[in-house]
Amino acid sequence: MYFGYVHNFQDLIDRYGLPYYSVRFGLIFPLIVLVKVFGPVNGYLVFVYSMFLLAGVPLYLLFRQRFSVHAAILAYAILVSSPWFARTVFWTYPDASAVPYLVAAIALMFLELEHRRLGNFAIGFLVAMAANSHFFALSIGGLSGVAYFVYYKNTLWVRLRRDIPWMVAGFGLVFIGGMVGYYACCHRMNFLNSTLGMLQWNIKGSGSIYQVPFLTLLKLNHLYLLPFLALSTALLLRRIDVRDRSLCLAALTCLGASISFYIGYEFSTEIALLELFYYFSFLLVPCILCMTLVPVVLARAGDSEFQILNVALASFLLPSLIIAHGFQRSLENVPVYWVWLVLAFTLFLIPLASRFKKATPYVIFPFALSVQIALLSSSDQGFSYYALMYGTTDQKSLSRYLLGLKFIETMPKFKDDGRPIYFWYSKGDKLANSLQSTYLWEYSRIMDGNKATDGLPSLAGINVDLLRKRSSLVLFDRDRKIVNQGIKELNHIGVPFAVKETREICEGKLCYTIAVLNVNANNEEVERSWRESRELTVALDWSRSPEGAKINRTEPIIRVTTPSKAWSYAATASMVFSEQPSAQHGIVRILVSVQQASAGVGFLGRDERSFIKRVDIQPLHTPQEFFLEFGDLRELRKFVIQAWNRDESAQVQLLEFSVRETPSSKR
Amino acid sequence: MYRKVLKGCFIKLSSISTASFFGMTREIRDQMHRMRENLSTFSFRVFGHECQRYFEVAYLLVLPVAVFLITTMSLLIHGCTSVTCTTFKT
Repeated sequence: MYFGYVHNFQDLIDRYGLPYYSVRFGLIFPLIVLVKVFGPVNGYLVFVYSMFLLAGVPLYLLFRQRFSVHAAILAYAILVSSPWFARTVFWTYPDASAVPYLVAAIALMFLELEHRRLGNFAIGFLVAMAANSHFFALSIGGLSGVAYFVYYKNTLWVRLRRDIPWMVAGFGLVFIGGMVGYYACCHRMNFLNSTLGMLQWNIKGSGSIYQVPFLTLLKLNHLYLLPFLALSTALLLRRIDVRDRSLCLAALTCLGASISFYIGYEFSTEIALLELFYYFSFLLVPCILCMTLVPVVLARAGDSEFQILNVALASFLLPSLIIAHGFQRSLENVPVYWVWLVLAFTLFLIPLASRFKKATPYVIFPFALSVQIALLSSSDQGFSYYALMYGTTDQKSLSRYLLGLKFIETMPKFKDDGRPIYFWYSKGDKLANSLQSTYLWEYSRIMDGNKATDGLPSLAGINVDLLRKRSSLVLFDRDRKIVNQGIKELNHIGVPFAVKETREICEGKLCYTIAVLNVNANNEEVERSWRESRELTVALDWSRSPEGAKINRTEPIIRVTTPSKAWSYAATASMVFSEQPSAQHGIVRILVSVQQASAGVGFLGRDERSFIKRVDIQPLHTPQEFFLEFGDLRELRKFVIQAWNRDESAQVQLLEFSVRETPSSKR
Repeated sequence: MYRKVLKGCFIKLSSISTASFFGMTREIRDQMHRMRENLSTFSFRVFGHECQRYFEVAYLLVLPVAVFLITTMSLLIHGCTSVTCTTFKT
């Protein structure tokens, strides 16, 4: 999806406005710049490399300043060789940039810089860039403030007076830059609306669909790393040198606050956090500090600091390089109780090491192993999958990347033909799914998300209403015959279209046949069905208009002004049938006039939350007629008029609304 | 600056070779002793502080690339080409 924005930004903005994906400019804008300067492949590699340096260099400098060069070398090696960090950075998702920004910010926070003002400005700048990569990063950035309070507790007020204005300046500059940038590209200053809408959706508990059962959550080995690191650091606090205590305490409180936040937020709002990698990855920020502090502090307490640090360096590098990447599959089936045992054994050794100096080197290796095993043996696919991300520039992955570029090049641009674009492809083909995701998945596929469907060439489970609109329909598959079969099926059901272009795109051994069809609006078939159907009397019982919307109920025409916020409901009406439909199948006909901006009309099902069917209507000077077919009319509960995907207000006039039930022989 | 660094490195290297050819003076012995100390702490410190800074920069720049290359090689050796092993079956 973000690949689509990086390589096709303007077209996606023209098509879909500013959905919340598009405003994650902390990831998108740097990638666009690097791709333009260095080309699509090298630009991406330069981005990944710069993210490594961005996170690694401040961390290195912090440990160099607070401890020694050797400790700094260890810290950098732990970060770079970590499969956790690799999994975070080596994919085009917002945490790929948000996490490095945050790691850099937290390292700078503890650094005593010569140019303090510049350092604080950079902290604010980085946190804002992280927040504009993924808004969730703001919470982790805020929780880092706990570490700041603990670390500078003796000089807190002086620090706050000195640091906060510069941090705020850096933070504000990014948001002002974002406003200017989005105004320049998209003529919109307020780019946060869609993100806040998504946040609201999450807080309401709508994200619970992604939650896994609690028992499944307990089987995720990597989650045990969090209490393990917290306990390891806590065990060291008792015997730690006074000069190191404040940093350890700050890291520990930051980790503790982050864990509490995750657990509290997950269970209070029923959102999935710990089970989703793109949220779990943010915990790397406090964890990387604890992960490095434990061996560094142990080494300081030991007999020979530098030798122990060398052992730590080897212990962290070797398992990740050899076991994780070479024999990674052997770790896939490590049961959770083995991970407990390894972690418990290490936790038993840590107090011994701090008491008996000679035992210190023997703790380092189990500690490093505990960290790596917990990460790499996780039953969740994430780490076993992303540990391998280091190798993504092999020939096959590169082929996919280049194929994606060719795919985008083949598609018509919105500014050229003004047609919405829809895709039809085989649902079993994961690569096809990835290719289509460059046009925002649900926004552009004709396969109905609520129905079981195999995709191309089967018409079962596709949203036929979309085929009656003027649009560009793209059929693509690895097999040319499947594409031809799909075209025949469209002919068979009477969809009027002209084949605009058929092209084969290949990269290496991977080839796809792509047919771009210009579909013209036609309701002939459904109109015939409509004429042969029996009319049902239905009344629309309009509820109060929400804030920002206006509704004028001068019968028979309903005039609605949609709110100027994307996706907001403008009017909702309960559907009251005078008689229960005897037949299940039926058609709803809507005659509507839409002006100024696009609007959406749709029908909510029994739960009165999810849409059974919804269509977008482009603004036109003449009224537009829509026929929507339903498998079961009894499921219809509410009729909704809403704003579409832009923060623009539309004038909607509902001229006619009628429902007919179709006799079974006509289906 | 680079001349200064090269000079420093050259003096240290030449002092070692001089000591081995003409016998160790007290000064050279002291220097060797210091170098052994440095060696025992970390191998890269053998060239002194000017070189150390360059080493650090090189380390920061090279390590991600090295890890990337090693893991890619490791994957290829084990017949696994990254994500194709797991999720995206083609």
